[in-house]
Amino acid sequence: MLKDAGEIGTAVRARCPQEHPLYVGMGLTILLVGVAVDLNAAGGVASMVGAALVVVALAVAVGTNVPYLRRYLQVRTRSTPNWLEWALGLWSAAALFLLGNLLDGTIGFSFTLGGIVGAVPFLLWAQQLRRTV
Amino acid sequence: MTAHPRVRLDDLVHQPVRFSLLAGLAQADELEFRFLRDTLQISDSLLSRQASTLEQAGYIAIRKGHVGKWPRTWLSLTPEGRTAFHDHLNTLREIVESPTDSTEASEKGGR
Repeated sequence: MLKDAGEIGTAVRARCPQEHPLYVGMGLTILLVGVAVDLNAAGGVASMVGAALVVVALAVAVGTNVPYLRRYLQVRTRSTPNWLEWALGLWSAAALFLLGNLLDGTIGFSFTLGGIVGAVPFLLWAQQLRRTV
Repeated sequence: MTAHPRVRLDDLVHQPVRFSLLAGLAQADELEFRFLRDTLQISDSLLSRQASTLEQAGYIAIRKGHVGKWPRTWLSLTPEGRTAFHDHLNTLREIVESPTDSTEASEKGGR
């Protein structure tokens, strides 16, 4: 009976949605969006590279969120508190757009810098999850 | 003389399907009905019946919702259910891990 319960527990844990790839994906998406905004502003071939990066960013977002969601619909368990999720989202939006707009014209690749700053907390949280879960 | 740990076993939890169901639910916040059915390798009706029994006892909560247009059911442990399951599990472990003591006690009791 105990062995069966252990096996079922293992089966459920194996199906638990993994959160750290999700946050690595989010960090990468924000970073790519930052680079894409700068490249699009440059015009010419750079714009095409920027557009390609947007596609890559979308693919990363879909590629990490869809498998997560599929598992989450079966096994619901969360390691990230809601407030932290909101804080990460607000931080990344503020870093990307506020920092990007504020520094635009004063330094090159200001949105890229915003993207990097916005992505860091996501990547740190992903690392923390990978270590603890 | 202290009572044998088996008297502390919860009959409601001890039934194999219900015990397995609670063991699965103890690992997550919520599990989807079909996932549980497949993991436990039982029929819809059996799972439904055992889940209703546990729900009536206040050990699990059943939530119905939709994913798109498809109806889905999620099951979760209540705090009472979690406590009952862990108490039951600890009692089982206690029984399993001290077989010599219990054998000796029963032998003494038999004399």
